[in-house]
Amino acid sequence: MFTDPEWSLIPWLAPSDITALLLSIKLAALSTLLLLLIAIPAAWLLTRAPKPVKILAESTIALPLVLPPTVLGYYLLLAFAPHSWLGGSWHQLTGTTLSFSFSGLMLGSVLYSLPFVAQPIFNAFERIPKPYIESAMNLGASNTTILHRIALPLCKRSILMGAGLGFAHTLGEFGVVLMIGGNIPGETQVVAIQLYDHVESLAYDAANRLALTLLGASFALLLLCYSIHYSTGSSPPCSTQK
Amino acid sequence: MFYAKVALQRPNVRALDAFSLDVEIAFDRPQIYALYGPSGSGKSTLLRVLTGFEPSAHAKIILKNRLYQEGDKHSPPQQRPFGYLSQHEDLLPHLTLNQNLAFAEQCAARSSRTSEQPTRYTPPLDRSELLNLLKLQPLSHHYPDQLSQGEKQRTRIARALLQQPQLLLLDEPFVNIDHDSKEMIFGYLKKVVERWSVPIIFVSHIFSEILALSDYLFIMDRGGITIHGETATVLSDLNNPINSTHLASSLLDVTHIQYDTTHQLVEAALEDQTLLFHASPEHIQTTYRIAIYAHAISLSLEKPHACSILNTLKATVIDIEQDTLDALIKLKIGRQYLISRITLRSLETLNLTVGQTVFALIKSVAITPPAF
Repeated sequence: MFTDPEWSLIPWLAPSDITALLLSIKLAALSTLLLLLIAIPAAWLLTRAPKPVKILAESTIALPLVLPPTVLGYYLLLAFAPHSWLGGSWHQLTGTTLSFSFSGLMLGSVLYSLPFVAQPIFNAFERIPKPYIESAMNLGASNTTILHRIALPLCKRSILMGAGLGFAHTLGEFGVVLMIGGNIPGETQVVAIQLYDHVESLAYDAANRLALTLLGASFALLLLCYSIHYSTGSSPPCSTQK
Repeated sequence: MFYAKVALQRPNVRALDAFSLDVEIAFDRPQIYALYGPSGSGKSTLLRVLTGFEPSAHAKIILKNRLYQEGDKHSPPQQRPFGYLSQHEDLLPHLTLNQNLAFAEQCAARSSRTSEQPTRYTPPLDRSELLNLLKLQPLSHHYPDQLSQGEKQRTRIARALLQQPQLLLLDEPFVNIDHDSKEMIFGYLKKVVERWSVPIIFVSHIFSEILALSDYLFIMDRGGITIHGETATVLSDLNNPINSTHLASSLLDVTHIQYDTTHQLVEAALEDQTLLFHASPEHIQTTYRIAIYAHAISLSLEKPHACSILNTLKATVIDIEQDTLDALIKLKIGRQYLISRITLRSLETLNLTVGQTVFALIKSVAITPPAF
């Protein structure tokens, strides 16, 4: 239906732009989901880890914040190569390659957006007042029960925040995709690459429309994230600050 | 029933003085035990060791023939049947009072502890019964931030009991609680011990709480226990350090005779003599434990007439301990002891000697109303 020339989801964008945008949204949504599944248990385990482990883990998680995306992309490209351990096993399992595929892109996005999701969640877990955890332990609650019944409800705003930031950040992914994804429409041609193509081909009008759309969407998403973060919240109180 | 030997060394870190704890506690009756001592004497740390939150401590902990810690064996907090009230607010803010209690029940039901538990309560400590006992029923849909300090504390006590603990550990449970709520909670705790035979250890640095609540007293100082014994016995020992302070006092067990409704006075029997003190009608019981400060007791060689002091007790002087300014006189009435503090001048004027019979004059209003 989205390719129907008579109908357009966003009338000012060309069908190829919309395809790229939908691909980006799909990539962002799936990566964010995967990131939440990884980041929540990992952050929870990390709150119990000894200090040196925390320092090491936090530094590693923060790497994508400071590294040029191309560095990450370069190493991913090496890892995805069919003769490498990861690329080889993937090829054996699925018969496809990770490089220049949507799955590879997702793996890249997960690494690339990891700090945006993991950091707010980890920080929120760390801020849970210790007495809550200790009293639950004293009552006999297991670590998993404490995560489900105390940490998740108390930190739900930070988790939403992390998910929102992760989503928005993946939506804007460019450097990593450039290295590992290539430019296959509907598979790896995400919206940032599409914009780059427009500029390359001097289609400034199309570039302008796409850029503005992306700007507007990202801003709206961030507005939503921060509104949730700053909402006072009626009963039940869900502040993690004591 | 309960035995704990605890040793903990904490080196001097960041301006905090080095601290060491070396304590041995044993008891075999379900009653209320108090840990009393100044701040920093290790009372709270001792409770944390018992609950399993101080992994660096060396301890041997046995409750009802079950070993919870010794050498390398260290049961995690989840597996220790010790209800624990820390000094911190820890009711879950996103759950209502009722949900907080339900959470405790679910945790207790799921934890491996229940299956291992040596003895279970029959009938088990039950949520609706506790809600009634602690007068929490009307508040059950409130969130913690809608509760007063006293209500929160009652909820936390209920929550600790719902895990069917074999021992209840309360760390300064009455801080920030107004006088009336405090008295109410004293009463509930006594009922809990009576109803379910749960022994309680509570930590306090407030002497009046010790007087009102404790059956047995451990006095702690600088990481060790200096004196311990039945509270009334410890208090009647003139050499006990408390007795050199203005807190010197006596505990007496008395039996109800009749109630003067007009004046709200209880007439009670102390051995073969009578004693009058205030109590509101709802606090009437068959027996009372009353506390009297030593400085509130005057001595007379004769029975006074036309005097506002309602209580005149005939007693025998059995010990005299002189201080720089005052003297402590230990008196015996039947099997019970009373301590009076008088000036050295009075001691000389009355020329008191051991074995002498005197009259102890006690204002009714100076008798601490019993915690019901």
